[in-house]
Amino acid sequence: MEDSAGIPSAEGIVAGRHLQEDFMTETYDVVWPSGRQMHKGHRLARRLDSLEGKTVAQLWDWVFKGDIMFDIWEREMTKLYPGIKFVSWREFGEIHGANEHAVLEALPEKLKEHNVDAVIVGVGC
Amino acid sequence: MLCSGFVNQGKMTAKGLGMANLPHTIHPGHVNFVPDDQLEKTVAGPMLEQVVKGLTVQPPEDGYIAEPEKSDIVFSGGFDAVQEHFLENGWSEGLPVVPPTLDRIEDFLRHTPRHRDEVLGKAMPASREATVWSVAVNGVMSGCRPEYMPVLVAIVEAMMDPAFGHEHLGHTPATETQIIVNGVILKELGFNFGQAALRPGFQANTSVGRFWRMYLRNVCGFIPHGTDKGCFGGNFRIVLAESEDLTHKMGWTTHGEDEGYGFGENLVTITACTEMTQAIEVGDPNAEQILKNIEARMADNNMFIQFFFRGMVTRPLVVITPAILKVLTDQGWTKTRVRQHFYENAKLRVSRLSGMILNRFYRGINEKCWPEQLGTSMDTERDIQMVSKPEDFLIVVAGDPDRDHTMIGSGNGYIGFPVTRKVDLPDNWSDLVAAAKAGRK
Repeated sequence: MEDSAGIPSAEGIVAGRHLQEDFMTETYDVVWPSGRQMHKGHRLARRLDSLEGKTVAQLWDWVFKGDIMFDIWEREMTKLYPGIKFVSWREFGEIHGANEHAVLEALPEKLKEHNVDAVIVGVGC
Repeated sequence: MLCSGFVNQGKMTAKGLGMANLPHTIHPGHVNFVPDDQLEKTVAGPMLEQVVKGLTVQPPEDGYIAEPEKSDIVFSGGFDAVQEHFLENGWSEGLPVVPPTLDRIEDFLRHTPRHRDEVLGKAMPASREATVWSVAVNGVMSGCRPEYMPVLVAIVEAMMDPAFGHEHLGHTPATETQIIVNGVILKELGFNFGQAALRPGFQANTSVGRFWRMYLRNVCGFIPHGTDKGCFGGNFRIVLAESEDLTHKMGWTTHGEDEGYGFGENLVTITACTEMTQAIEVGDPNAEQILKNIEARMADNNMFIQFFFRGMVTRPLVVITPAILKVLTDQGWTKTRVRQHFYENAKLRVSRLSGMILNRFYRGINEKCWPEQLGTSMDTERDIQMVSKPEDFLIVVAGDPDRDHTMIGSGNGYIGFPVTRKVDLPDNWSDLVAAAKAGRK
Protein backbone atom coordinates (compact mmCIF):
# COMPACT_ATOMS: atom_id res chain seq x y z
CA MET A 1 0.00 0.00 0.00
CA GLU A 2 2.24 2.75 -1.35
CA ASP A 3 1.52 5.79 -3.47
CA SER A 4 3.44 6.41 -6.67
CA ALA A 5 6.29 8.05 -4.72
CA GLY A 6 6.73 4.93 -2.55
CA ILE A 7 5.25 6.53 0.59
CA PRO A 8 3.02 4.13 2.63
CA SER A 9 -0.65 5.05 2.72
CA ALA A 10 -2.61 5.56 5.97
CA GLU A 11 -4.26 2.13 5.50
CA GLY A 12 -0.85 0.54 5.04
CA ILE A 13 0.45 2.04 8.26
CA VAL A 14 -2.58 0.74 10.21
CA ALA A 15 -2.23 -2.74 8.70
CA GLY A 16 1.47 -2.72 9.58
CA ARG A 17 0.66 -1.84 13.18
CA HIS A 18 -1.72 -4.82 13.42
CA LEU A 19 0.96 -7.13 12.08
CA GLN A 20 3.47 -5.77 14.55
CA GLU A 21 1.05 -6.24 17.45
CA ASP A 22 0.42 -9.89 16.45
CA PHE A 23 4.14 -10.45 16.20
CA MET A 24 4.81 -8.98 19.64
CA THR A 25 1.94 -10.71 21.46
CA GLU A 26 2.37 -14.19 20.00
CA THR A 27 3.79 -16.86 22.32
CA TYR A 28 6.83 -18.69 21.01
CA ASP A 29 7.75 -22.20 22.18
CA VAL A 30 11.47 -22.39 21.50
CA VAL A 31 14.15 -25.08 21.57
CA TRP A 32 17.75 -25.18 22.75
CA PRO A 33 20.23 -24.06 20.08
CA SER A 34 23.11 -26.33 21.09
CA GLY A 35 23.78 -30.05 20.65
CA ARG A 36 24.49 -33.22 22.55
CA GLN A 37 27.92 -33.55 24.12
CA MET A 38 29.92 -36.32 22.48
CA HIS A 39 31.55 -37.67 25.62
CA LYS A 40 30.01 -38.68 28.89
CA GLY A 41 32.77 -37.25 31.02
CA HIS A 42 36.29 -38.60 30.99
CA ARG A 43 37.91 -39.24 34.28
CA LEU A 44 41.05 -37.29 34.97
CA ALA A 45 44.16 -39.45 35.08
CA ARG A 46 45.25 -40.63 38.49
CA ARG A 47 47.75 -38.20 39.98
CA LEU A 48 51.13 -39.56 41.04
CA ASP A 49 51.88 -40.46 44.68
CA SER A 50 55.34 -38.95 44.32
CA LEU A 51 57.46 -37.50 41.55
CA GLU A 52 60.56 -39.44 42.65
CA GLY A 53 61.83 -41.65 39.84
CA LYS A 54 59.01 -40.57 37.51
CA THR A 55 59.21 -39.48 33.87
CA VAL A 56 57.60 -36.13 33.02
CA ALA A 57 57.01 -35.04 29.41
CA GLN A 58 56.98 -31.41 28.28
CA LEU A 59 54.54 -30.39 25.54
CA TRP A 60 54.58 -26.93 24.05
CA ASP A 61 53.95 -24.99 20.84
CA TRP A 62 57.28 -23.17 20.93
CA VAL A 63 56.06 -19.64 21.61
CA PHE A 64 55.77 -17.43 24.71
CA LYS A 65 58.81 -18.44 26.80
CA GLY A 66 57.90 -22.04 27.49
CA ASP A 67 61.53 -23.02 26.86
CA ILE A 68 62.67 -20.83 29.77
CA MET A 69 59.91 -22.12 32.04
CA PHE A 70 60.54 -25.79 31.31
CA ASP A 71 64.28 -25.31 31.97
CA ILE A 72 63.53 -23.78 35.37
CA TRP A 73 61.12 -26.54 36.41
CA GLU A 74 63.50 -29.21 35.21
CA ARG A 75 66.31 -27.69 37.25
CA GLU A 76 64.22 -27.21 40.42
CA MET A 77 62.34 -30.52 40.31
CA THR A 78 65.54 -32.47 39.74
CA LYS A 79 66.79 -31.02 43.04
CA LEU A 80 63.57 -31.90 44.85
CA TYR A 81 62.77 -35.39 43.47
CA PRO A 82 65.60 -37.90 43.09
CA GLY A 83 65.48 -39.92 39.91
CA ILE A 84 62.92 -37.70 38.16
CA LYS A 85 63.45 -37.60 34.38
CA PHE A 86 62.15 -35.21 31.75
CA VAL A 87 61.37 -35.74 28.08
CA SER A 88 61.96 -32.42 26.34
CA TRP A 89 59.40 -30.57 24.25
CA ARG A 90 61.96 -30.82 21.43
CA GLU A 91 61.30 -34.56 21.30
CA PHE A 92 57.62 -34.12 20.45
CA GLY A 93 57.63 -31.13 18.06
CA GLU A 94 55.26 -28.14 18.00
CA ILE A 95 51.86 -29.29 19.24
CA HIS A 96 50.17 -26.26 17.65
CA GLY A 97 52.15 -25.56 14.50
CA ALA A 98 52.43 -26.19 10.79
CA ASN A 99 52.78 -29.92 11.41
CA GLU A 100 50.37 -30.20 14.34
CA HIS A 101 48.13 -32.98 13.02
CA ALA A 102 51.10 -35.32 12.52
CA VAL A 103 52.61 -34.33 15.88
CA LEU A 104 49.40 -35.04 17.77
CA GLU A 105 48.82 -38.30 15.93
CA ALA A 106 52.27 -39.51 16.94
CA LEU A 107 51.88 -38.34 20.53
CA PRO A 108 50.29 -41.41 22.24
CA GLU A 109 52.94 -43.72 20.82
CA LYS A 110 55.77 -41.38 21.80
CA LEU A 111 54.45 -41.05 25.34
CA LYS A 112 54.40 -44.87 25.61
CA GLU A 113 57.82 -45.16 24.05
CA HIS A 114 59.29 -42.86 26.70
CA ASN A 115 57.35 -44.48 29.58
CA VAL A 116 55.89 -41.12 30.48
CA ASP A 117 54.10 -40.90 33.85
CA ALA A 118 52.92 -37.30 33.66
CA VAL A 119 52.79 -34.36 31.25
CA ILE A 120 53.14 -30.60 31.66
CA VAL A 121 51.63 -28.76 28.69
CA GLY A 122 51.39 -25.16 27.53
CA VAL A 123 49.94 -23.76 24.32
CA GLY A 124 50.35 -20.10 23.40
CA CYS A 125 47.95 -18.72 20.88
CA MET B 1 50.45 -23.56 31.97
CA LEU B 2 48.28 -20.47 31.65
CA CYS B 3 48.85 -16.76 31.68
CA SER B 4 46.26 -15.33 34.08
CA GLY B 5 44.19 -13.79 31.30
CA PHE B 6 43.61 -17.24 29.87
CA VAL B 7 42.33 -19.06 32.94
CA ASN B 8 38.66 -18.97 31.91
CA GLN B 9 39.51 -20.14 28.42
CA GLY B 10 41.66 -22.94 29.81
CA LYS B 11 39.02 -24.10 32.27
CA MET B 12 36.19 -24.05 29.73
CA THR B 13 38.26 -25.76 27.05
CA ALA B 14 39.31 -28.49 29.48
CA LYS B 15 35.69 -28.98 30.52
CA GLY B 16 34.63 -29.23 26.87
CA LEU B 17 37.26 -31.90 26.35
CA GLY B 18 35.87 -33.88 29.27
CA MET B 19 38.63 -32.87 31.67
CA ALA B 20 36.92 -30.39 33.98
CA ASN B 21 39.09 -29.40 36.94
CA LEU B 22 42.28 -30.20 35.05
CA PRO B 23 45.00 -28.67 37.26
CA HIS B 24 46.90 -25.69 35.92
CA THR B 25 49.66 -23.31 36.88
CA ILE B 26 49.12 -19.60 36.37
CA HIS B 27 51.56 -16.89 35.38
CA PRO B 28 50.27 -13.52 36.62
CA GLY B 29 49.82 -11.33 33.53
CA HIS B 30 51.23 -12.08 30.09
CA VAL B 31 54.80 -13.43 29.85
CA ASN B 32 55.57 -11.07 26.95
CA PHE B 33 55.61 -8.13 29.37
CA VAL B 34 57.95 -9.72 31.92
CA PRO B 35 61.79 -9.62 31.91
CA ASP B 36 63.50 -13.00 32.26
CA ASP B 37 64.78 -12.42 35.83
CA GLN B 38 61.26 -11.71 37.03
CA LEU B 39 59.96 -14.73 35.12
CA GLU B 40 62.57 -16.88 36.90
CA LYS B 41 61.26 -15.85 40.33
CA THR B 42 57.63 -16.57 39.46
CA VAL B 43 58.30 -19.86 37.70
CA ALA B 44 60.67 -21.22 40.36
CA GLY B 45 58.34 -20.00 43.14
CA PRO B 46 54.54 -20.10 43.09
CA MET B 47 54.26 -21.72 39.66
CA LEU B 48 56.54 -24.60 40.66
CA GLU B 49 54.34 -25.28 43.69
CA GLN B 50 51.27 -25.34 41.45
CA VAL B 51 52.94 -27.73 39.00
CA VAL B 52 53.90 -30.17 41.75
CA LYS B 53 50.42 -30.01 43.27
CA GLY B 54 48.87 -30.50 39.82
CA LEU B 55 50.88 -33.66 39.24
CA THR B 56 50.37 -35.18 42.69
CA VAL B 57 47.00 -34.08 44.13
CA GLN B 58 43.87 -35.64 42.63
CA PRO B 59 41.29 -32.97 41.65
CA PRO B 60 37.56 -33.59 42.21
CA GLU B 61 35.57 -34.98 39.27
CA ASP B 62 32.91 -32.77 37.71
CA GLY B 63 29.27 -33.67 38.32
CA TYR B 64 26.85 -34.61 35.53
CA ILE B 65 24.50 -31.85 34.38
CA ALA B 66 21.38 -32.86 32.43
CA GLU B 67 20.86 -30.97 29.16
CA PRO B 68 17.78 -30.61 26.95
CA GLU B 69 17.01 -32.99 24.10
CA LYS B 70 16.90 -31.38 20.69
CA SER B 71 13.14 -30.82 20.42
CA ASP B 72 12.46 -30.08 24.10
CA ILE B 73 10.73 -26.74 24.56
CA VAL B 74 13.15 -24.85 26.79
CA PHE B 75 11.17 -21.62 27.00
CA SER B 76 7.76 -20.19 26.11
CA GLY B 77 7.04 -16.51 25.93
CA GLY B 78 6.47 -13.42 23.84
CA PHE B 79 9.02 -12.03 21.42
CA ASP B 80 10.71 -9.76 23.95
CA ALA B 81 10.80 -12.46 26.62
CA VAL B 82 12.42 -14.89 24.18
CA GLN B 83 15.10 -12.31 23.39
CA GLU B 84 15.83 -11.78 27.08
CA HIS B 85 15.95 -15.53 27.71
CA PHE B 86 18.43 -16.09 24.89
CA LEU B 87 20.60 -13.19 25.99
CA GLU B 88 20.64 -14.38 29.61
CA ASN B 89 21.75 -17.83 28.52
CA GLY B 90 24.38 -16.54 26.12
CA TRP B 91 22.56 -18.00 23.11
CA SER B 92 22.65 -14.87 20.97
CA GLU B 93 25.34 -12.34 20.09
CA GLY B 94 23.19 -9.37 21.07
CA LEU B 95 21.12 -8.78 17.98
CA PRO B 96 17.51 -9.98 18.10
CA VAL B 97 17.08 -13.60 17.02
CA VAL B 98 14.19 -15.21 15.21
CA PRO B 99 12.61 -17.50 17.84
CA PRO B 100 13.55 -21.12 16.95
CA THR B 101 10.12 -22.74 17.09
CA LEU B 102 9.51 -26.31 15.94
CA ASP B 103 7.45 -25.28 12.92
CA ARG B 104 10.17 -22.93 11.67
CA ILE B 105 12.82 -25.61 12.16
CA GLU B 106 10.70 -28.15 10.28
CA ASP B 107 10.43 -25.69 7.42
CA PHE B 108 14.23 -25.49 7.22
CA LEU B 109 14.57 -29.29 7.39
CA ARG B 110 12.25 -29.65 4.38
CA HIS B 111 14.89 -27.83 2.32
CA THR B 112 17.66 -30.38 2.76
CA PRO B 113 17.87 -34.03 1.72
CA ARG B 114 19.94 -34.76 4.83
CA HIS B 115 18.49 -36.52 7.86
CA ARG B 116 17.84 -34.21 10.79
CA ASP B 117 19.90 -36.38 13.15
CA GLU B 118 22.91 -36.72 10.87
CA VAL B 119 26.07 -35.80 12.75
CA LEU B 120 28.30 -33.64 10.54
CA GLY B 121 31.22 -33.66 12.94
CA LYS B 122 32.44 -32.92 16.42
CA ALA B 123 32.03 -29.25 17.24
CA MET B 124 34.95 -28.04 19.32
CA PRO B 125 35.91 -26.93 21.92
CA ALA B 126 32.61 -27.98 23.54
CA SER B 127 32.82 -31.49 21.95
CA ARG B 128 29.21 -31.35 20.82
CA GLU B 129 27.46 -33.07 17.94
CA ALA B 130 27.17 -30.79 14.93
CA THR B 131 23.86 -32.01 13.51
CA VAL B 132 21.61 -31.04 10.64
CA TRP B 133 19.04 -30.20 13.31
CA SER B 134 21.28 -27.69 15.07
CA VAL B 135 22.13 -26.15 11.69
CA ALA B 136 18.42 -25.53 11.17
CA VAL B 137 17.93 -24.08 14.67
CA ASN B 138 20.79 -21.63 14.32
CA GLY B 139 19.79 -20.81 10.75
CA VAL B 140 16.33 -19.84 11.99
CA MET B 141 17.83 -17.72 14.76
CA SER B 142 20.20 -15.92 12.38
CA GLY B 143 17.40 -14.66 10.17
CA CYS B 144 18.07 -17.01 7.27
CA ARG B 145 15.31 -18.11 4.94
CA PRO B 146 14.46 -21.86 4.90
CA GLU B 147 15.80 -22.18 1.36
CA TYR B 148 19.29 -21.22 2.57
CA MET B 149 19.40 -24.49 4.51
CA PRO B 150 21.46 -26.49 1.94
CA VAL B 151 24.11 -23.75 2.01
CA LEU B 152 24.16 -23.79 5.81
CA VAL B 153 24.64 -27.56 5.93
CA ALA B 154 27.55 -27.32 3.46
CA ILE B 155 29.12 -24.58 5.58
CA VAL B 156 29.05 -26.69 8.73
CA GLU B 157 30.37 -29.71 6.83
CA ALA B 158 33.29 -27.55 5.72
CA MET B 159 33.72 -26.19 9.26
CA MET B 160 34.03 -29.75 10.58
CA ASP B 161 36.78 -30.69 8.10
CA PRO B 162 39.98 -31.20 10.15
CA ALA B 163 41.93 -29.31 7.47
CA PHE B 164 40.13 -26.12 8.51
CA GLY B 165 40.87 -26.51 12.22
CA HIS B 166 37.81 -24.74 13.64
CA GLU B 167 38.85 -25.81 17.15
CA HIS B 168 41.48 -23.02 17.12
CA LEU B 169 39.04 -20.18 16.38
CA GLY B 170 39.12 -18.97 19.98
CA HIS B 171 42.72 -17.79 19.57
CA THR B 172 43.79 -14.26 20.43
CA PRO B 173 44.03 -12.84 16.87
CA ALA B 174 40.27 -13.54 16.68
CA THR B 175 40.31 -14.96 13.20
CA GLU B 176 37.06 -14.63 11.32
CA THR B 177 36.16 -16.72 8.32
CA GLN B 178 35.34 -15.65 4.79
CA ILE B 179 32.61 -17.80 3.29
CA ILE B 180 32.59 -17.88 -0.52
CA VAL B 181 29.57 -19.18 -2.42
CA ASN B 182 29.59 -20.28 -6.05
CA GLY B 183 27.03 -21.74 -8.42
CA VAL B 184 23.60 -21.22 -9.91
CA ILE B 185 22.23 -21.10 -6.38
CA LEU B 186 23.59 -17.54 -6.08
CA LYS B 187 20.82 -16.20 -8.30
CA GLU B 188 18.18 -18.56 -6.96
CA LEU B 189 18.76 -17.35 -3.41
CA GLY B 190 19.48 -13.71 -4.20
CA PHE B 191 23.12 -13.42 -3.14
CA ASN B 192 24.67 -10.09 -4.04
CA PHE B 193 27.94 -10.41 -5.97
CA GLY B 194 28.01 -6.93 -7.52
CA GLN B 195 28.53 -3.50 -6.04
CA ALA B 196 28.70 -3.60 -2.19
CA ALA B 197 29.35 -7.34 -2.30
CA LEU B 198 30.58 -7.33 1.31
CA ARG B 199 28.10 -4.80 2.73
CA PRO B 200 25.15 -5.79 4.96
CA GLY B 201 21.91 -5.19 3.15
CA PHE B 202 21.39 -8.40 1.22
CA GLN B 203 19.60 -11.03 3.25
CA ALA B 204 21.38 -14.09 1.89
CA ASN B 205 24.89 -12.67 2.24
CA THR B 206 24.22 -11.13 5.65
CA SER B 207 22.18 -13.78 7.43
CA VAL B 208 24.37 -16.68 6.26
CA GLY B 209 27.41 -14.74 7.46
CA ARG B 210 25.69 -14.20 10.81
CA PHE B 211 24.88 -17.93 10.99
CA TRP B 212 28.60 -18.80 10.97
CA ARG B 213 29.27 -16.94 14.20
CA MET B 214 25.94 -18.09 15.73
CA TYR B 215 26.90 -21.72 15.15
CA LEU B 216 30.37 -21.19 16.61
CA ARG B 217 28.72 -19.71 19.70
CA ASN B 218 25.86 -22.10 20.31
CA VAL B 219 27.21 -25.44 19.14
CA CYS B 220 31.01 -25.17 19.13
CA GLY B 221 30.89 -23.18 22.36
CA PHE B 222 33.04 -20.17 21.46
CA ILE B 223 31.91 -17.55 23.96
CA PRO B 224 33.78 -14.25 24.49
CA HIS B 225 35.31 -14.01 27.99
CA GLY B 226 35.43 -17.80 27.93
CA THR B 227 36.70 -20.04 25.16
CA ASP B 228 36.74 -17.18 22.63
CA LYS B 229 39.91 -15.30 23.64
CA GLY B 230 40.00 -12.89 20.70
CA CYS B 231 41.97 -9.86 21.83
CA PHE B 232 39.76 -7.40 19.96
CA GLY B 233 37.59 -9.59 17.76
CA GLY B 234 35.64 -8.37 14.81
CA ASN B 235 32.27 -8.77 13.21
CA PHE B 236 31.21 -11.88 11.31
CA ARG B 237 31.99 -11.52 7.62
CA ILE B 238 29.35 -10.97 4.99
CA VAL B 239 29.30 -13.92 2.58
CA LEU B 240 31.26 -13.34 -0.63
CA ALA B 241 29.48 -14.45 -3.79
CA GLU B 242 31.39 -14.62 -7.05
CA SER B 243 30.40 -12.70 -10.14
CA GLU B 244 30.44 -15.88 -12.17
CA ASP B 245 28.89 -14.83 -15.46
CA LEU B 246 31.26 -11.91 -15.96
CA THR B 247 34.23 -14.05 -14.91
CA HIS B 248 33.31 -16.70 -17.44
CA LYS B 249 32.48 -14.19 -20.15
CA MET B 250 35.98 -12.75 -19.85
CA GLY B 251 37.54 -16.19 -20.12
CA TRP B 252 38.63 -16.88 -16.55
CA THR B 253 37.72 -19.87 -14.46
CA THR B 254 35.61 -19.24 -11.37
CA HIS B 255 36.87 -20.05 -7.90
CA GLY B 256 34.67 -23.15 -7.96
CA GLU B 257 36.34 -24.36 -11.15
CA ASP B 258 39.75 -23.70 -9.58
CA GLU B 259 38.71 -26.08 -6.83
CA GLY B 260 37.98 -28.81 -9.40
CA TYR B 261 34.23 -28.42 -9.88
CA GLY B 262 32.16 -27.53 -12.92
CA PHE B 263 31.00 -24.03 -13.86
CA GLY B 264 27.73 -23.30 -12.08
CA GLU B 265 28.06 -26.09 -9.51
CA ASN B 266 26.78 -25.04 -6.12
CA LEU B 267 29.67 -24.78 -3.70
CA VAL B 268 30.67 -23.30 -0.40
CA THR B 269 34.29 -22.47 0.45
CA ILE B 270 35.48 -21.33 3.86
CA THR B 271 38.86 -19.76 4.45
CA ALA B 272 40.46 -17.97 7.40
CA CYS B 273 40.31 -14.20 7.11
CA THR B 274 41.71 -12.51 10.18
CA GLU B 275 42.16 -9.31 8.26
CA MET B 276 40.76 -7.90 5.03
CA THR B 277 42.67 -4.98 3.56
CA GLN B 278 41.34 -2.84 0.79
CA ALA B 279 43.76 -1.84 -1.95
CA ILE B 280 41.99 1.14 -3.40
CA GLU B 281 42.47 2.44 -6.90
CA VAL B 282 44.79 -0.18 -8.26
CA GLY B 283 43.44 0.62 -11.69
CA ASP B 284 45.78 1.46 -14.55
CA PRO B 285 45.61 1.21 -18.34
CA ASN B 286 48.49 -1.24 -18.09
CA ALA B 287 47.52 -4.64 -16.69
CA GLU B 288 50.91 -5.42 -15.22
CA GLN B 289 50.89 -2.13 -13.31
CA ILE B 290 47.59 -3.21 -11.72
CA LEU B 291 49.27 -6.39 -10.51
CA LYS B 292 52.20 -4.40 -9.13
CA ASN B 293 49.78 -2.13 -7.27
CA ILE B 294 48.07 -5.15 -5.69
CA GLU B 295 51.42 -6.72 -4.78
CA ALA B 296 52.56 -3.51 -3.10
CA ARG B 297 49.54 -3.63 -0.85
CA MET B 298 50.19 -7.28 0.00
CA ALA B 299 53.61 -6.20 1.25
CA ASP B 300 52.07 -3.30 3.19
CA ASN B 301 49.92 -5.56 5.32
CA ASN B 302 52.47 -8.44 5.30
CA MET B 303 49.64 -11.01 5.33
CA PHE B 304 50.69 -12.50 8.69
CA ILE B 305 53.87 -13.75 7.13
CA GLN B 306 55.19 -14.88 10.52
CA PHE B 307 53.36 -18.16 10.03
CA PHE B 308 55.02 -18.64 6.66
CA PHE B 309 58.33 -18.18 8.49
CA ARG B 310 57.33 -20.99 10.78
CA GLY B 311 56.78 -23.48 7.98
CA MET B 312 53.08 -23.05 7.31
CA VAL B 313 51.43 -22.50 3.95
CA THR B 314 49.51 -19.22 3.89
CA ARG B 315 46.53 -18.81 1.54
CA PRO B 316 45.73 -15.15 0.80
CA LEU B 317 42.34 -14.34 -0.72
CA VAL B 318 42.44 -11.70 -3.44
CA VAL B 319 39.09 -10.26 -4.53
CA ILE B 320 39.19 -8.23 -7.74
CA THR B 321 36.37 -6.41 -9.48
CA PRO B 322 35.11 -7.26 -12.96
CA ALA B 323 36.54 -3.90 -14.10
CA ILE B 324 40.05 -5.02 -13.11
CA LEU B 325 39.48 -8.41 -14.68
CA LYS B 326 38.55 -6.74 -17.97
CA VAL B 327 41.88 -4.89 -18.22
CA LEU B 328 43.76 -8.06 -17.33
CA THR B 329 41.96 -10.26 -19.83
CA ASP B 330 42.00 -7.62 -22.59
CA GLN B 331 45.79 -7.70 -22.31
CA GLY B 332 46.00 -11.49 -22.31
CA TRP B 333 46.51 -12.20 -18.62
CA THR B 334 45.24 -15.63 -17.66
CA LYS B 335 44.50 -16.49 -14.05
CA THR B 336 47.54 -18.78 -14.02
CA ARG B 337 49.81 -15.96 -15.19
CA VAL B 338 48.37 -13.57 -12.62
CA ARG B 339 49.01 -16.08 -9.82
CA GLN B 340 52.55 -16.57 -11.07
CA HIS B 341 53.09 -12.81 -11.08
CA PHE B 342 51.78 -12.51 -7.52
CA TYR B 343 54.02 -15.39 -6.45
CA GLU B 344 57.16 -13.92 -7.95
CA ASN B 345 56.59 -10.26 -7.22
CA ALA B 346 54.62 -9.93 -3.97
CA LYS B 347 57.71 -9.32 -1.85
CA LEU B 348 58.35 -8.00 1.61
CA ARG B 349 61.48 -6.13 2.73
CA VAL B 350 62.51 -7.96 5.91
CA SER B 351 63.70 -4.77 7.64
CA ARG B 352 60.08 -3.62 7.82
CA LEU B 353 59.47 -6.29 10.47
CA SER B 354 60.16 -5.77 14.17
CA GLY B 355 59.96 -7.40 17.59
CA MET B 356 58.55 -10.91 17.85
CA ILE B 357 57.79 -11.04 14.13
CA LEU B 358 61.43 -10.38 13.25
CA ASN B 359 62.50 -13.03 15.79
CA ARG B 360 60.23 -15.49 14.05
CA PHE B 361 61.90 -14.64 10.75
CA TYR B 362 65.31 -15.45 12.26
CA ARG B 363 63.94 -18.67 13.64
CA GLY B 364 62.46 -19.62 10.29
CA ILE B 365 65.82 -19.07 8.61
CA ASN B 366 67.53 -21.16 11.31
CA GLU B 367 65.04 -23.94 10.76
CA LYS B 368 65.48 -23.71 6.99
CA CYS B 369 61.80 -23.02 6.32
CA TRP B 370 61.00 -22.26 2.67
CA PRO B 371 64.62 -21.56 1.62
CA GLU B 372 63.63 -20.96 -2.01
CA GLN B 373 61.20 -18.20 -1.00
CA LEU B 374 62.84 -16.81 2.16
CA GLY B 375 66.48 -17.40 1.33
CA THR B 376 69.00 -18.58 3.88
CA SER B 377 70.55 -15.29 5.01
CA MET B 378 69.83 -13.34 8.21
CA ASP B 379 70.29 -10.12 6.23
CA THR B 380 67.22 -7.96 6.70
CA GLU B 381 67.88 -5.52 3.86
CA ARG B 382 66.48 -7.82 1.24
CA ASP B 383 63.11 -8.80 -0.20
CA ILE B 384 61.48 -12.16 0.40
CA GLN B 385 58.54 -13.90 -1.23
CA MET B 386 55.34 -14.21 0.74
CA VAL B 387 53.79 -17.55 -0.28
CA SER B 388 55.08 -21.01 -1.11
CA LYS B 389 53.66 -21.41 -4.63
CA PRO B 390 51.41 -19.56 -7.11
CA GLU B 391 48.42 -21.77 -6.30
CA ASP B 392 48.40 -20.49 -2.72
CA PHE B 393 46.49 -17.42 -3.91
CA LEU B 394 42.70 -17.71 -3.98
CA ILE B 395 41.33 -15.27 -6.54
CA VAL B 396 37.64 -14.36 -6.64
CA VAL B 397 35.90 -11.82 -8.88
CA ALA B 398 33.16 -9.75 -7.21
CA GLY B 399 32.20 -6.20 -6.32
CA ASP B 400 31.48 -3.09 -8.31
CA PRO B 401 31.81 -3.90 -12.02
CA ASP B 402 32.79 -0.29 -12.67
CA ARG B 403 35.48 0.27 -10.04
CA ASP B 404 39.13 -0.57 -9.56
CA HIS B 405 39.42 -1.70 -5.93
CA THR B 406 40.82 -4.94 -4.57
CA MET B 407 40.34 -6.69 -1.23
CA ILE B 408 43.12 -8.85 0.18
CA GLY B 409 42.24 -11.26 2.95
CA SER B 410 44.73 -13.19 5.03
CA GLY B 411 44.62 -15.56 7.97
CA ASN B 412 46.66 -15.39 11.15
CA GLY B 413 47.55 -18.73 12.69
CA TYR B 414 47.67 -22.45 12.08
CA ILE B 415 44.07 -22.31 11.18
CA GLY B 416 41.49 -21.93 8.50
CA PHE B 417 42.99 -23.58 5.44
CA PRO B 418 40.45 -23.33 2.59
CA VAL B 419 37.84 -26.09 2.45
CA THR B 420 35.24 -26.42 -0.31
CA ARG B 421 32.02 -28.46 -0.08
CA LYS B 422 29.26 -29.15 -2.57
CA VAL B 423 25.82 -27.87 -1.66
CA ASP B 424 23.50 -30.85 -1.42
CA LEU B 425 20.01 -30.01 -2.77
CA PRO B 426 16.80 -31.99 -2.33
CA ASP B 427 15.16 -33.55 -5.43
CA ASN B 428 12.27 -31.06 -5.33
CA TRP B 429 14.59 -28.05 -5.09
CA SER B 430 13.06 -26.17 -8.05
CA ASP B 431 9.59 -26.51 -6.56
CA LEU B 432 10.81 -25.33 -3.17
CA VAL B 433 12.52 -22.27 -4.64
CA ALA B 434 9.45 -21.45 -6.74
CA ALA B 435 7.18 -21.84 -3.70
CA ALA B 436 9.47 -19.64 -1.62
CA LYS B 437 9.41 -16.90 -4.25
CA ALA B 438 5.63 -17.14 -4.59
CA GLY B 439 5.24 -16.98 -0.81
CA ARG B 440 7.09 -13.66 -0.65
CA LYS B 441 4.67 -11.91 -3.00
